[in-house]
Amino acid sequence: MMEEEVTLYKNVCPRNCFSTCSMITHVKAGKVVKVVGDPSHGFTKGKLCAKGYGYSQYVNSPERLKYPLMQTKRGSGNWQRITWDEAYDIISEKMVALRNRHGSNQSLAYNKFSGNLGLLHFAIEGLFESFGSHTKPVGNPCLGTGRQALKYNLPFEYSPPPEEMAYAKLVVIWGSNPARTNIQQMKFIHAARDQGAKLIVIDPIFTETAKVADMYIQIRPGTDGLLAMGLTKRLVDSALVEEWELRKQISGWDHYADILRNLDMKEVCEETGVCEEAIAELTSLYGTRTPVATWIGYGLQRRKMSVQNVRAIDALVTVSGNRFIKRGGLYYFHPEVENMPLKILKDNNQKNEQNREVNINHFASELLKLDDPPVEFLWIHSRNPLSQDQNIREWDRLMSQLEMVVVSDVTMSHTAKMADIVLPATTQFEEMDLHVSYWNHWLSYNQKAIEPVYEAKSDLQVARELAMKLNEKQPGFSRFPVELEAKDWIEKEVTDEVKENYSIKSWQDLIEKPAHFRSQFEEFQQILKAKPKPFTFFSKKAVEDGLSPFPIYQRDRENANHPFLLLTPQSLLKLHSQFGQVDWFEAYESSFDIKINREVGKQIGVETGDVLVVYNEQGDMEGLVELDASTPKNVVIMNQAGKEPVNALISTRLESYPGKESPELSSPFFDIYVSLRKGGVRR
Amino acid sequence: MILQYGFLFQPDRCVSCHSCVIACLNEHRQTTKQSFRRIVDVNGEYNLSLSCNHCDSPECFRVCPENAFSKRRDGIVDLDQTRCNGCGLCLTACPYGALQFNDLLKKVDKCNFCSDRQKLGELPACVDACTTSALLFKNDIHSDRPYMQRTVLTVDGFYSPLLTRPSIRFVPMEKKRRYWLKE
Repeated sequence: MMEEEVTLYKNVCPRNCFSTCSMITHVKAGKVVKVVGDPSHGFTKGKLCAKGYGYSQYVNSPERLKYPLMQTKRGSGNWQRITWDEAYDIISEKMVALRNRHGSNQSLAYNKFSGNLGLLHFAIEGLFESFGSHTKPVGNPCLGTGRQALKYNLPFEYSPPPEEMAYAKLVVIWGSNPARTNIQQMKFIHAARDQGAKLIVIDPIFTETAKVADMYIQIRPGTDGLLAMGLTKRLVDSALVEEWELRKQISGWDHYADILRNLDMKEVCEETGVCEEAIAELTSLYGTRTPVATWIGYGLQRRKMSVQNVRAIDALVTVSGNRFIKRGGLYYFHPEVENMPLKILKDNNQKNEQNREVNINHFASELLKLDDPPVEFLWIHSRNPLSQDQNIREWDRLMSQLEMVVVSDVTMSHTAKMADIVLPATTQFEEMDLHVSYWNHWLSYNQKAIEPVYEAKSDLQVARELAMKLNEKQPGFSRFPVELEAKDWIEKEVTDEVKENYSIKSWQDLIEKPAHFRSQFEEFQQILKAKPKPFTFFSKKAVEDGLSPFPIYQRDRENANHPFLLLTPQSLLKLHSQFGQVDWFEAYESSFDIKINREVGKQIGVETGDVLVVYNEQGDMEGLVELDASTPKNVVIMNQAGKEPVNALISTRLESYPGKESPELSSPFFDIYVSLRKGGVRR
Repeated sequence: MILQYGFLFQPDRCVSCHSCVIACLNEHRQTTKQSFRRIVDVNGEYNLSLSCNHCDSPECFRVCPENAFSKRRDGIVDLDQTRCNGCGLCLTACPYGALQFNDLLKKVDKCNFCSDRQKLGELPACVDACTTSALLFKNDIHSDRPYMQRTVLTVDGFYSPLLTRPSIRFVPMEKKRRYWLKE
């Protein structure tokens, strides 16, 4: 029997992940049969993570949403299949009615974050822009605090191409676990080690990355800034750096040097839990090795005072002479998505009206407060807030008050279950798209490898078709250019500037292989040279924001009611709440839900495999506990995306800074305190 | 030429990312629902990624009443499933627990070193997927090569190689500095 021919396509993993891997998709008889890495991508280099190798199961999963569905009585589970035309009819009817009722589009809102980072997934935002002023989320719940922190110390953002980490002589990772969240980076780190570099991991959790590190330093959560200050003090004390040079480079240096001189190292050790010997060893490495690559993880900036921790680490990197250095530097975030033209979003804002903006960190509670007009229609796409947002209880309240909720997703998520209309979304294999990464500097093109599964549609297709329907009902409702297809938007997006930045002649060049951003190193070096004292250790902006002017550690407030800090890192085989439908992964997921220190377990009277209840004012969750020797005694670890969302324990309104709620700051997901008690016997 | 395909494994590189495990499933998805490879956590200290070791004197070969196993000239321990009666003797005989029972076929199943890929000059799927280079492929694992001096036949957590002479070598772990929280 002749085997049916396999055709290869190039796809890009659109998940909220550092790597944004290029993939080669094997398609047979119109089905994705296998997905592997793409060797033409300089960061991916032909490899994928475990989740990536499971994509054939993701796209072909029986759990995929197949048709548009309507739920009679929200949350009842009383679903009924409807046609796309019926869905558009119901949605457009409501949108037009609301506009007419309120004389404005501001009762129409959407919520989207990082479910699919493809640039054409801004189509729904573009559609809302095309109505005129509406209600939209702003901000970044994930990594904003660290960004803001770095901006106090330096006026521009630069995270070097991560491939260059392979040439560093020392790699220091503060609070990141690439073994789980950025596996592609490990090969560059190992390459550096092959050339004699050392890998240092500083983390409260003994992660898989920590296990392979040359040196692992366990630290009390939230005290990284104090350790960084201790290291900086030792660097200066031991004359491994020249103070007169620092004075020339850093505004506020003398003040900062004074603060360091008065720093009591005994207190540093006590508060961070890091011994003097470790500090001495790391000081010597920072002081004698060059170049040093320092990586600040997002996990480190999820507490209220972590803005100061990031500033203090940045100060250490600056003082050690590694802030701007070839083959070293500070790694945090590559802000390319903001530098792209995003035509599909911005070109549709033709009326240039001011939208009503809502802080994404407090979206549900803020939306509930709005009147004149109140928000009555909500469209949720590329997001699962009822599992992943910080204030799930407020979301429940919001959902019960809206007139219409539309959710588009790939599977029936926690959020989709609360919608009136659910629209089946395409995966990256079923649509064309363009991708940049927030870590590596590559631009890659995603081909359409297969026809949409069942009746799934891309965001762009939905935007086009709904715009037509709206205009039928009320001419001129939307100015979304319905005639433009994905290919046209990609062509528009790859402007002359983009072509120049990525050294390509046209977007079609990306079909063959992804393109890399030109080197920005010299450009930033020039800016630094032109500016007297380019580094700021005395920030007026920080003072305005209610912080210390200096990059110094400020202690987090503990919670008097609950003794344990809850940390909720990523699961290995999920990304936030995604990938749950891949049955290949079930056998490899940990059978435990909660991890605590063995001695704490002994005190509570639980052993590995027992049921433990984790609770606070927000509610309680139970799960099977695993005891270990390495988890800090005041820490409880629960991975994200268990069967029930752990974020239910975070259902409270959290400030990003003390007294400050800015959409530009991260949600302080690691500022949650809980208590523990032994659970009953599980059947 | 008689060869012995084998694995060279560096525990210091393995971060338990499971790419190899899932890439194996991805490769053999048409015939099995279980990966032929698994990650073993050794005392919480390091990880081993293990599959069939294509031993020089395989126990599976010795105990099989149907003579379903064969040792190829390239060293691959091959299972002829048409001969397998599903008795499962080999499952318990293998000291590495490397064989699976395939519920779909009601027969034993095992890693065949991706022999179909090897015919095309490709690496086994697991090795190809290993992004940290913890798992490497060697054509003739125990022959005299530059890596011989720095590799060993076993590490803690791996069953003694004396019985079956598995076709795997290890790069010994380096001493690491770990500073635990002072509480």
